[in-house]
Amino acid sequence: MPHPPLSAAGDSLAVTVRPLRDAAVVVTAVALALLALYAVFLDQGQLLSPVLGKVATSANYLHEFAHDGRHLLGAPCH
Amino acid sequence: MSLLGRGAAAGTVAGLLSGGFSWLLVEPLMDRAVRREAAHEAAEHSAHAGHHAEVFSRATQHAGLLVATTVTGLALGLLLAVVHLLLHRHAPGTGAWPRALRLAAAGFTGLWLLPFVRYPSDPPGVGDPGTVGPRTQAWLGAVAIGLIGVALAWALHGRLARRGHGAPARQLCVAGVLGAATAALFTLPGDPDALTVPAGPLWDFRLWSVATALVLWAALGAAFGLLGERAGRRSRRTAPHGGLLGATASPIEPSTPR
Repeated sequence: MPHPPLSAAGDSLAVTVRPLRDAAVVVTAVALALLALYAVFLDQGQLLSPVLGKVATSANYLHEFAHDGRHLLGAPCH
Repeated sequence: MSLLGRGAAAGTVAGLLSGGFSWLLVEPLMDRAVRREAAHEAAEHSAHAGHHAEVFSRATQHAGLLVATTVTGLALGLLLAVVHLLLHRHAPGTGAWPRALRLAAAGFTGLWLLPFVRYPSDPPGVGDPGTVGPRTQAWLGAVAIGLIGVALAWALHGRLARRGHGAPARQLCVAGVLGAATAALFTLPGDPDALTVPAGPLWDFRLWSVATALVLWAALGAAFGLLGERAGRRSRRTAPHGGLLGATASPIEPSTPR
């Protein structure tokens, strides 16, 4: 579909508005989203072990808390 | 609401919906599966009782399900918004509804359905703790193959459309790429664990697992599409001043009042 002639100017306006800030926001959002998915689906104690030490691995708090969600959404579980 | 805000809001709504859905309908099955697992373990380890103390009660794990789906929805909503931003940066404000549905369908297929075809979800009680490492790696491989397959199909579809090919050619190519991705999934190692659960409860659980994922992705696409339509209407009423992530997604419309 051809764009109306205004789109080029409009787009360049949109893209040049604080591109650094926008990129930082996007990168932060992606990092937070991946960290959240890691915590729900993959963590086996790694995220909490700096705080809790060895018990984080043996008790596996995040895994056990998200246990039902892991099973239901298809992640491998114990 | 900014594009990322719309993704986060749509994802949170979708996560709460699918979490509530599975809390009401699937938790009774999961509770039975956990009891079966506990009985199985008790029979195997009757010599030393109390071998496997549970960290959380089932009630806490029910709440954990809702938290897990909500966090998952929020994260997927943010990622969906970022993909939308990258794909549609040249015309950010048009066709919010069909775009959102197409993106959600692609996400469901690549991130969930294709990996599920290779490694179907299993109820509590299936899965040896000793093999969770390799199983997780294989599952991540399946997710990667699913995502690559969907991205290739999407890119090929776009390229064929730009060259003026009709719908049959485009859609058959998409089907071919997804078929090849499915074939590639079966080069991954099989699940090493024995299925200790009878087929009936096993497939009941798997169907509910499909339903939960469908609710999550369908609600995500619908909510993201509705919020996008609303933002588009607003930006047409007010002067376009938005940045890439700003409240007004579309700088295309002329700002003169009509």
